Amino acid sequence: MMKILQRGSLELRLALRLGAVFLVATILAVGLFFYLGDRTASALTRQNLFAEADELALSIGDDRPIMTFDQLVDSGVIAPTTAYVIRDQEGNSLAFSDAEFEASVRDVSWSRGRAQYFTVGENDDQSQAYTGLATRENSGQGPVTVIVAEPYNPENAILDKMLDEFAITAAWIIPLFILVTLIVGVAAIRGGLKSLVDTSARVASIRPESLSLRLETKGLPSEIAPMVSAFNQALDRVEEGFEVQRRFTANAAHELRTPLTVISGALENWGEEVNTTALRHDVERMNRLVNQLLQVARLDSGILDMSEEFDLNCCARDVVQHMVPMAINKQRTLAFTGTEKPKTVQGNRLAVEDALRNLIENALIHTPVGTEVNVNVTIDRSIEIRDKGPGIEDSHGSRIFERFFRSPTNKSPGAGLGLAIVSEVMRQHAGTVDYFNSPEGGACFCMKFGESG
Amino acid sequence: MRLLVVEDELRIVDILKDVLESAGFTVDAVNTATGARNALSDIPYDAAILDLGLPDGDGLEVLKSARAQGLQIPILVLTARDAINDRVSGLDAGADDYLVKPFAIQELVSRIKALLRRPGGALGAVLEAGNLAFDTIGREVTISGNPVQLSRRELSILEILLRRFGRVVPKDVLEEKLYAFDQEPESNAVSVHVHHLRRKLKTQAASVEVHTVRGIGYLLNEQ
Repeated sequence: MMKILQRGSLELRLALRLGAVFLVATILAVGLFFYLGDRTASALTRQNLFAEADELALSIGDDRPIMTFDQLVDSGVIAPTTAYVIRDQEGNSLAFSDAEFEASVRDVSWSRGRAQYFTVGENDDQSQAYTGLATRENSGQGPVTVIVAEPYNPENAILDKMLDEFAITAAWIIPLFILVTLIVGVAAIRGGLKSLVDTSARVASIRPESLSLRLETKGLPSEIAPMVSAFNQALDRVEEGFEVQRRFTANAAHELRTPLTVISGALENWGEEVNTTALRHDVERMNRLVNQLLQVARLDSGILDMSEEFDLNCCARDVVQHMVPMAINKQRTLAFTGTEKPKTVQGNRLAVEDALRNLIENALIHTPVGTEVNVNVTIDRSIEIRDKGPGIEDSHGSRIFERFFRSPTNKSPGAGLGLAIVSEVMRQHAGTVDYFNSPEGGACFCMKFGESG
Repeated sequence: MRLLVVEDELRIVDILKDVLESAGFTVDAVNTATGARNALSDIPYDAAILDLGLPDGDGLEVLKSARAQGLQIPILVLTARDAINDRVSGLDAGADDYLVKPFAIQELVSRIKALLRRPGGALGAVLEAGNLAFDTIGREVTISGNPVQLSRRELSILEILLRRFGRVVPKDVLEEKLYAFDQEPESNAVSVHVHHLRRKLKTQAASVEVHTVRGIGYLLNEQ
C-alpha cells in the first residue's frame, strides 16, 4: 500500500528530518533521565556523608576517649553500614571502623582546604568497595581528618540496576518507537501532501486547448494555497495572451484580406486598356503571403485543436478539388489517387489542408506548363505530391524546411514560408515531411502521418 | 434583376456595384446588419450578397433571421475568416454559396449567375457560359447561336457542369445523375460521354472547355 519513498521527494525529506528529530529527542530524554537520576542519587549520598562526618567530629570530646564503632552506631552518630577513619594532623589514625577499610583508604586524604570525595575498591572483587568523603573537622581534640564512607552499593546500585533493567526492557522499544512514529509520520505527511499531488496532476493535464482549466484552492494547506492561486492568476494571463493571439489572427485575416479584395477587384475592373497581368501576380503573391503568415501565426500560438478524426482521402480530395481552377489558370493539371479504404488520422484537418495546399502551390509553380501534378494518398498513411519540375538541389538538404529559406537559384516568388508551415504541421501531427527527386524527374514531397497521428 | 449587397467595406461595394451593374443587375447596397434586415423585408430582391463581418452584428444572424422569415432567394456569403468553420456554419444557416476573401470579382459574378439559374431561380431556363447557351426546357444547346447536336447523356453532363461552372464535379456525382438506381453504369461510361462532349464543343469552337481532373472528376471552364 505504502509506496517506497521516492528519491528527492518532499515526502522523503520530511520523513528523514522527522526521523532525525525523533532520534535526537529520544536520546535527549533518555540522557536527561539518567543524568537526573544519577545526580539525585549522588546528592543524597553526599549530604549523608557530610552529616555523618560532622557527627563523628562532634562525638570526639577533649576529655573522653573516642567512642568505639558499636558505641557510635548505638548512639545514632553513624549508620551500621558506615565505615570511617579519624586521623590526627600528623596523619596517625586515632580511630577506625575496621582495619581493612583503614588500609584501603591510606592514600586518601583531605587536601588543599577542600573536602575530597573518593571511591575505593571499585575494581576489586575481593574487598568491599566504598564511596566516601575525606574532610577536615574541628573536634574536642583539635582539627582532625575525618574519612567516612558508605559501601559503594546502596544508592548507586539502584541506579545501576535501573540502567540494566532499562536496557533490557525499555531500550529495544526505542528503535521500534522511532519506526512506528516514522510510519505514522510518513502516512501523515502523505495525507497532508495529497492535495499537493492532486494539484500537480491537474496542472499536468493543462494543454493549450484546455486553458480555461483552473486549480481548486479549496481544501489546500494555507502554505500552498497562495502559490496555487498565484498559478491560477498566471494561467489567467496566459489564457488572455492566447485569446489576444487568437483574436489577432482573426482580425489580421479580416484586415489584410479586405484591402486585398479591393485591390484585386479594382485590377479586374480596370478594363482592357491597361495590362494588369504583372500587378495581378503581385496581388496573388501578396495574398499567398498573408495566408501563410496567418497559418504561421496560428501554428505558433499553439492552439491547434488536434481532436478531429478525418480521412486523408477526403482531405486531399477536397484540397485538390479547390485548387483545380488555379491549376487550370496556370495551364497545369492536377490529379488525385486515393486508397480504397479510408486512412483515418487524428489531428487538425484545417492545418493539414493548409500544409497540403502549400505543397501543391509549390508543385504547380515548379512543374512545367502543360504537365500534371499528382496528389496520392498511400496505404502507409502518407500524402505524396509529385511534380515534373527540375527537382530540388541535393545541397539544400533539410534546410528547405527552415523559415524564410529560399534557394539562391529559385526565381519563383515566395517568402520561403510554405515548407516551414508544412514541417510544423507535420511535427504537430507526430508525422514527418520529406522529399526526394524521383528517377523519372521532378520532386516528390511526402507527408507521412504517424501511427497514432 | 435586383440584387442586395451587404458589405461594410465601401471600396468593395463600389467595385461590386460597378461589375454587377455592367453585368445588367440593379444593385442596392447597405453596410449594416440592421440595414440588411430592413432592406430584405421591404424589397423583393432576386438574390443577396452578404458579408459576415458587419459593424453592428454578425451576418450569420441576418441570414438566419431572413431564412426564419421564409425568405427563399439565393444568398451568397462573403467571409474574410478561415474557410472551413465559416463555410459549415454559413451553409447550415441557409447560405446557398460562399466565397472567401480575397475573391475574384468575376468569380463572384459567375457564382451569382449560377445561383440565379438554379431551378426556380430568377434567371430562368437558359444557362450561359461564354458563347455557349443551354435551354434547359427545350433541351437545346447553341454555340454562338448555332445549334449543336448532343446526345441525351451528353446534355445531362453538360447541364450539371454548367450549373457548377468553374468548379470540379466529382465523377460519382455525374454517374448518379446519369443513371437511375437500377442501372449499373459501365465503368468508363462517363468518361466516354465526356470525351464525345469535349470533341463536339471543340469542333464547334466553343469558348468553354471540359477539363479532366484525374481521380476526381471534371470541370467546365472558360478558355
